[in-house]
Amino acid sequence: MKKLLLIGLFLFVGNVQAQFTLSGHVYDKSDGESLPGATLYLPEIKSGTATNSYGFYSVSPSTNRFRVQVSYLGYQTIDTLIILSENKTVNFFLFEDVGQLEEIEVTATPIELQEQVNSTRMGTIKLQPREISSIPTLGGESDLIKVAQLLPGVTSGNEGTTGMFVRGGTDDQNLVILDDAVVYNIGHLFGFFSVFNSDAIKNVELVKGAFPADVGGRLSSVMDVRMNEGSSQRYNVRGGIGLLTSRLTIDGPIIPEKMSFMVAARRTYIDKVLQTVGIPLPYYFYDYNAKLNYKISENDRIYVSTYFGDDVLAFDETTQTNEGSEDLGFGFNLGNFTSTIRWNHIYKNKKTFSNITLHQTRFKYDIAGNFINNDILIRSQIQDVGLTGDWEYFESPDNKFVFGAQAVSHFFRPNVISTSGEIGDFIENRKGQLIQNLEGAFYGGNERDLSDQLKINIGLRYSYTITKNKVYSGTEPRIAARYKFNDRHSVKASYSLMRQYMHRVSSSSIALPTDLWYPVTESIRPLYSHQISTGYTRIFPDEQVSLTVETYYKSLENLIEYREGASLILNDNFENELLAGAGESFGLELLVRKNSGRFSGWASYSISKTSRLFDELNRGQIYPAKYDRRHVANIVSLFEFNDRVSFSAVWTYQSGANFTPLTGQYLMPNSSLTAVELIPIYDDRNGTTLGASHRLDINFILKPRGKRRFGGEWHIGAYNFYNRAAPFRVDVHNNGTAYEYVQQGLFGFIPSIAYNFNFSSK
Amino acid sequence: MMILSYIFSTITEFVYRISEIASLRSQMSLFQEIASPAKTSSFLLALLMLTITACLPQNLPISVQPDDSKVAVASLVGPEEIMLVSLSKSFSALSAEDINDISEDFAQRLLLDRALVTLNYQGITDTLETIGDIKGLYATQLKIFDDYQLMELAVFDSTTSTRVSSASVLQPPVEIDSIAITRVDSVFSSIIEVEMAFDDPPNIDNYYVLHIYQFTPPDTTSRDSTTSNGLFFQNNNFLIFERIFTDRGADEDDRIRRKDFMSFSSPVDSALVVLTNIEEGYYNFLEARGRAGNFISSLANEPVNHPTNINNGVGYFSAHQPRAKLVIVKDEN
Repeated sequence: MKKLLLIGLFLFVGNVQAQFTLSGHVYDKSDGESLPGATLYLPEIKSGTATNSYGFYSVSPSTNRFRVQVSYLGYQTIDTLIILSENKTVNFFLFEDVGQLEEIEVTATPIELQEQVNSTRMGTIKLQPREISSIPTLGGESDLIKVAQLLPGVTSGNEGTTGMFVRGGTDDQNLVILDDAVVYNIGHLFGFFSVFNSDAIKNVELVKGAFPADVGGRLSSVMDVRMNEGSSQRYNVRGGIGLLTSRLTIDGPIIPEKMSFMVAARRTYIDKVLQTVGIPLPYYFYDYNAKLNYKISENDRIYVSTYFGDDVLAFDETTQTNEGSEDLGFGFNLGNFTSTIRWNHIYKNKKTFSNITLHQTRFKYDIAGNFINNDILIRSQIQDVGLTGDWEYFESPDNKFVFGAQAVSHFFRPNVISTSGEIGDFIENRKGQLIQNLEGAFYGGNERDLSDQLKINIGLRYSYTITKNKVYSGTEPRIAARYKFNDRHSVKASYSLMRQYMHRVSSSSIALPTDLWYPVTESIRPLYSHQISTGYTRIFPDEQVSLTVETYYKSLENLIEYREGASLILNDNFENELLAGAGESFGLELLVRKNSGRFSGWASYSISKTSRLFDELNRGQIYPAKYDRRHVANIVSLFEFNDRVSFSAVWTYQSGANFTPLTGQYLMPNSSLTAVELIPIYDDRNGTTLGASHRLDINFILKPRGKRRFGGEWHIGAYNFYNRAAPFRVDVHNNGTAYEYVQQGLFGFIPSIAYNFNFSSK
Repeated sequence: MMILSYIFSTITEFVYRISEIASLRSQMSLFQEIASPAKTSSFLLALLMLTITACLPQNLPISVQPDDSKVAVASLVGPEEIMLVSLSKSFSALSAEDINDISEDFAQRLLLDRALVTLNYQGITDTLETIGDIKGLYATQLKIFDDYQLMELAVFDSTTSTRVSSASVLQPPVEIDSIAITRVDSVFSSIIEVEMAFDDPPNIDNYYVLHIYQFTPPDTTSRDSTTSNGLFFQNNNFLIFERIFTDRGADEDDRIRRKDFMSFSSPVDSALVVLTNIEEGYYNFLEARGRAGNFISSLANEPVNHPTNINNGVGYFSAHQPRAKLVIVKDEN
């Protein structure tokens, strides 16, 4: 099989022999940060490339004299003539397009728009920090997960939460990585806020279909979050004071042009505020990001980054009694800790780029309680240590290879119980069952133009996991193709098979402190999915607008559900609570996006249908998935009135989620014959669709006049401006005269205000 | 609670910020006055209440088709080999919110007292009769009483012309032959340890439900280790422990040994321990009952539908025979 793979891949090595190679990085001129995803277009040969995740590019055109246009969203384009007489390294520094309120005079198709037509990528959307920080969200807290929920194909769970349900998948089928380390828990405060501090984020890419060969591990999406690297030229201080949190970020050079750093911290402070007026609120969350990057040479660079954050609840009360004082305490502490060391290397041929990553991540929760002289601690944790090697070979602008290998060792230890005092007589101490799985993958892929119109991206991934007494493995073919009619529109199609070797143990749609991840075992088989998608991309250069229409069909196998009423807390044998089944989803997504100019934003619409089939649920009948929202529409708009005032608004519409309402009940003597009980009768699983929800969120940004070294801006906004309930459950309610069914919403109109500031040393 | 705290914090911070933005001394001084320690708590509390009422969105109506009324069945085999079957009607979710909402009148209307109830087993057909003036309860004395005999129930409700049917396999009774209940001194006062053992019928999967009651005797006599099924049906017992379990933990010699802890605050030092060998289906019904009764699961999990073996109806028809023991609680010291 491996031989076939290699032969298949290298058959695509063409006979185009580039004379010389132009390579280098694309940077932000103002602070020296690299710009991943920047496009380089060579108009003479009508071809181009994009910088990789580290801002590196390499082109080896068939001619030695050519123009190159370097472009990145929000930056001024560089158009320059290149003459090569040997392999050459050229770093491009782009100026930010700040304060440009006039509509850009369009003389040619903007390159980033052109790239959308040219690329084989489908179901891939990038988000910029500007968008994340400008878009209004719950409580005025910038939140990239909430912004991602506004993209087509992504539906949210209950209102306000960070749950993401991508193309019919479940919340645990999304791989969220921060600087290549997996983030297992993406929510603070029971999932109402994401763990990502927007000030520390450089860019975000969400892939929900047409997965390239180098990504895997989850069925539905990969969200790749990159931290800021820190300016290599100046010191920056950014921060904000919001209703819920305050945050501070500092970055700058340690050795100019060689070594830079970034540190960011965020914490809720309501507990402290309320403490001053005598009201205890024993809860807070915090997170820290830090990154160091060191340019060893023109060809070698090291990045070290880390994240850690916790949610802490610590309730403690002492009661005075006749016999002395009695302590009563309860609390939890849960959070992630990730760290990554990466080494970028550019080989002598200037065509090959490698990235070696050593990463570790840990997610754990502790639940503790104490009563008089008795203590109990319940702990669960997952820890990963992994090594990844990725290589990119830029044969020519039309021909690129990727290959690599990944291995990660998972250590799971759920439900450790430690007690002291007499409670130990009733609750047994448990070390918890240590489960160690090794998961890995090899992959290779090739993206190349077969003609001016036809471009393909094929890849093959071989993944495996070694668990106790069992090895699971399988191939994951990926193929994507684009046919370009002209520079303005193209059609695309793709197929990908994904495998997933772990899942989150949670039977709830909200993030509970007791949620934890659990691997496949001898009896729990890996999940896998097939996804076919087709798409049409059209750009309107004059308006700087792109239109994307995509359809997809996805089948999901070995899905995990839980028995009705499954009890997961203190349960050391989850497997008895798990059921295996299947699902499918299909839909159409439409996205109209305008990324630049005074007015920007997007409008999206998706129609989809998602169903599930489990032998032991719903009497073995097919039923709709809980978040099978038929129609979802979002309008995201950002408008700059002038250099001081801008306005953003989000209007979102979602068909209701599905719910299993109580429809009847009956009386029955209990088994002990001591009472008569009311036994509920429920409708078919998810048999009732809740009412549609729609909501308008607004945000004004007020900036001081003129450009200053110290800048500040006020964000004044409102969530759910017209106070409309977004139903999340159906209850029976007594209206005074009779009972009726009602749909409850969670959040109403919530005003918000925040102050953000920034300071640069030059 | 977290949401309330959040809304609360939002509005208080909003007041702070409004004061800052406007920089109006009058507002600041007003706020400072409000913020004096003596008044702050009540002010914030009032603000919280205002926020809750003002900012929570109104509930939206929704149309849900209520469930049609069905015949609900429950059963057991009591003392003297009497099969008891109770029949009632299910009702709409909009009729009552909880058990306390059900009036005596409404409950009486639910009971089926004009049903024809027959039981077929081993070629015998018994017609169950109502017991005195107790509505909805039907009984017959079984003529043959063999372990694992198939018992088929047929019900015709003449008022609604509804027919329901079911079948169950009579489970053999299982006697607890070794039991000790000991009071344990603890800061968690009134804890007892119950240690018991019994023989598990071999070569077949068995399912059990165990009930332990604080026993309050009907008279002044109390007996130790007395098989007294009659006591089980007295309504002066207070249930303190219920557990379903299987025979998966049985020893090689088909003995099941258990040790359980529970709170105990009976005025007399005796407990009634009742063990019932039940069918797997009824075990699943009781398991669903337990899952549904979990407070956390009721908030966060999918609803639990109770399994039924009633064709065209709900509830569970189970032929099982409880066996009880009255046990004196010993003091550890």
